[in-house]
Amino acid sequence: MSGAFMVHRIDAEILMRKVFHYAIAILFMTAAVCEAAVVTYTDKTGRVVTIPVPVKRAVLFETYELSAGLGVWDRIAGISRYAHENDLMLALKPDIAKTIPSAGSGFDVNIEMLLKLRPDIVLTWTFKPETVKFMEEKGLKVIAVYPESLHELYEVMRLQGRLFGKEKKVESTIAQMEKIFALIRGRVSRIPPERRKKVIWLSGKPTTVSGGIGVNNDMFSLIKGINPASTIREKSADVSIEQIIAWNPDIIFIWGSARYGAADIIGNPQWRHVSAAKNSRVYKAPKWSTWSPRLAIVALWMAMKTYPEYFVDINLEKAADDFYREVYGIPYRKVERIEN
Amino acid sequence: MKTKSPIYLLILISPFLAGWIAIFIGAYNVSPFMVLKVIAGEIAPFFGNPDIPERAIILDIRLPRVILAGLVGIALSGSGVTLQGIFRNPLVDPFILGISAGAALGCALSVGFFPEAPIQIMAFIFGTIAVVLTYTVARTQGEVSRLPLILTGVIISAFFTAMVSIVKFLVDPHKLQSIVFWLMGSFSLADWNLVKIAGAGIIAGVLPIFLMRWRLNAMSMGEDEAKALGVNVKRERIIFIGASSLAVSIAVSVSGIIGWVGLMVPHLVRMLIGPDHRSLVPLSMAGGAAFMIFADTIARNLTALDIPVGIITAITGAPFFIYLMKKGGKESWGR
Amino acid sequence: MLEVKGLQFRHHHGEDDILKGIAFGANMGQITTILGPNGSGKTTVFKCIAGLWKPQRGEILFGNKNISNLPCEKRAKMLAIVPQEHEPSFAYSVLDAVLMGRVSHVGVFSSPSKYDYLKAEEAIETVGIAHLKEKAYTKISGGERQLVLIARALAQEAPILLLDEPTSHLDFRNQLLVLGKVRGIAREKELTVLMTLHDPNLAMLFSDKAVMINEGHIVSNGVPQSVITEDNLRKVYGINVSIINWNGARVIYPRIDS
Repeated sequence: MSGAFMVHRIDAEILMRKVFHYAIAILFMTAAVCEAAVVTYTDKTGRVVTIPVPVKRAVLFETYELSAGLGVWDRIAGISRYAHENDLMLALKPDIAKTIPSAGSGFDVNIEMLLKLRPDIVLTWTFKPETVKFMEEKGLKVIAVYPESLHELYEVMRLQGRLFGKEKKVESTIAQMEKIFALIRGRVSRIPPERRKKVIWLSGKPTTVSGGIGVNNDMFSLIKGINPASTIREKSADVSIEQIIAWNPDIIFIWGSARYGAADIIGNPQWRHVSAAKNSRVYKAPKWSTWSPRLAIVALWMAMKTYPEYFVDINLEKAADDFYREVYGIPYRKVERIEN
Repeated sequence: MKTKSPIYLLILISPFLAGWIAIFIGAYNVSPFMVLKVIAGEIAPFFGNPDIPERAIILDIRLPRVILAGLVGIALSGSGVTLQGIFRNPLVDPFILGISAGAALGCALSVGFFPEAPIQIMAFIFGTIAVVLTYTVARTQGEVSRLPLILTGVIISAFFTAMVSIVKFLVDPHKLQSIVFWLMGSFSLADWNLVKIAGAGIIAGVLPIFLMRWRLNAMSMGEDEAKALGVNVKRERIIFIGASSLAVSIAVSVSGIIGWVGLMVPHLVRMLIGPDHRSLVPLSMAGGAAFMIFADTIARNLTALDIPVGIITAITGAPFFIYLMKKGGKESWGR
Repeated sequence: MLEVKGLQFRHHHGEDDILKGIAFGANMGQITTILGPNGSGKTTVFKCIAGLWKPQRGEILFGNKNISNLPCEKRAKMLAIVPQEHEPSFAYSVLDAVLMGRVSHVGVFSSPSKYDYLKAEEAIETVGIAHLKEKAYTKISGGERQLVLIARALAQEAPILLLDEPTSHLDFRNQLLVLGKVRGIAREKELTVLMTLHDPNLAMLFSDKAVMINEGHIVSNGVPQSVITEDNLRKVYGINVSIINWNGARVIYPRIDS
């Protein structure tokens, strides 16, 4: 069943790419002919959405970190209530809770509030397809996203660039990310296969691991870590501790918002034979969203924790500071820092 | 006096049989010989017992998990048989009467808003509130009829589940995962620490039930008759409900909501050895432990994943409930 | 001697007294029967004496000791009850069911001892159902189940035995059988037996004393011959009956006018 699903998704991807090319072509043609440009986009649910651009009133329920650096605050009419507590959003726009109203979140849409905001476009995720349908029936333009890979993340970033007419800024952000990824690739490509490390990502529970699908797994491939859980073709899955001991990972990363920390794993006698716990190589990620340009810094941090000997000359603080200044125009110290 | 049949003995040792089998099976490949070697080394250290991964697997992962499953099975089944007895209703268990949902709310509140309040105590408080509410709402003119009791339990459970949803809605999405954990029963985090917590709480809960078990016979005659026979119904109901609620709440706090065990096991044991609570209570506890260990062994070995054991018990439990209803017909629904 | 004095009762939110001063006595080794139509207060009297309902006024004395306010453990040692509406729950064996009568004699944290078993078996012998001992008490006849409940009450070893409509669910033969047993036991064990009955003929046959109640009052009280009279039955039930004497037995039959 999951195989069929995969095939289906690849089809959708090809289709999406085609549509994307057509859209670009149409965009250029229409831009040349008249001023009223439109973006036509096939979203993750397979719906084709056409929106006049640039949008003036957007509501972002998800992926708001992607728009945070675009300097389009006056065109964000509404935002998820979780954005009001997000470290990056607060660093960039301290009065966000007062100036940009929330209309609920991707879990719970407050439809009256949303209609009051008169958005040109609503960006949400595919987590609740029925919500998307509901908003659409109320006459709203809705795009549902759910980036499951770096590739898909870039695609959503470019979509936002086109919606807000900030394609250049998006491309430069992607370039910043790619610069860091290139640095990582350059270093880890020198690692001989026999010295590659086994890495796992734990989320809500210490026995919930990231499987073979999703951005976390992509990051592991990028840093040339071996994710033993990638045989599980799911985003995340519950396994037994025995399974983790059998995998015997060298490095363990913990989701930033988990209610346990590295000390809980290292101090638990059940994990004493897991190489990562034995050698105190368990690290907790920052609470940053993975659907964010900041992913690049997290990837660098992961690479440095996994293969420190290949990154001795790299200063993470410096790299992060450069990145934040370049992409968001703020110093690194203004946001939540990575635990070290 | 009653003669103890072989089936009596078989049920009594069944948790040990199930546990013995369970420690040989798991995702980490340990040969049966190695299992025996580790156990022998633990019992008689002079054979030498180096700290190898297999030792951690057997002694620190499988063994506490098996014991925790057994304890939770004792709690759920023991309180199930108690509640069935005092409400003289074979169709109830802690899950149906709302204790589990109440305890889950306690856990959710503790995780979401009051991290300083111990989860176990919050679970106990709310589990007890739920069952007392069910009891008082269902009780009319001194008797608790069967159908109203089940319906009230369903309503109270729904209410507490809705309260859990509110908590889920209000907390930040990252705490959500920890709360969702309590709604899908699982032993995936079993360790000796949880065994200690569960052991103390569950034994404190089931001990009074075990000691007073013969009185459940008289209690099951109904409120007026039990009173006439000389049972202080009010006082003993408080003890039995409180003890059941304590055991179940502690179980929920360590493993989440696991339904149906408290319904199925006492019923099966009653079919095998009869309704006398002197044997029914200890054998239901033993049977509950064995069933829980068995279900958990399936949950962690059926696939590469660790399936929440609550799913396994619900898959077996719901058809069982339907079977009971159909078989008992009008009688089981009663007045 | 059991004495009921000035019993007055009304329900929590009720407006009228259901019992308006009931007083009578019952003797050891005898059967005293309470008679009365539906709604007369018969069952209320029974529940007040049994201690299930609390009367607003009045007392119940046994051997000059007030037993109306005893805690239930102690009351159970004074007074055993055979209920009318017994709804079986689980399929206990007859022995286990009778053993429940020993609850007031066994400690809260204990199980019945050898002595308790002895008493239960004795009670089973007394009512003559030893052959049913291992059977499920839910799977025997209504008459047999009534005897189980009587045996359970006997196992309680209380000097007072209350029976609420002991014949209401029984066929003709079982009615006589059960009441015959009760009379024999009352004599043999010197119990003070108090029961309610619907059928005046059965009351006449098996009672040593009769108390006729209507609308919360006692209409008549004394030996059955003086209580169960044509006049009283007409007054209380509103029907015409005749009583004939034949071979020393008194038989009541209704006169159906058509």
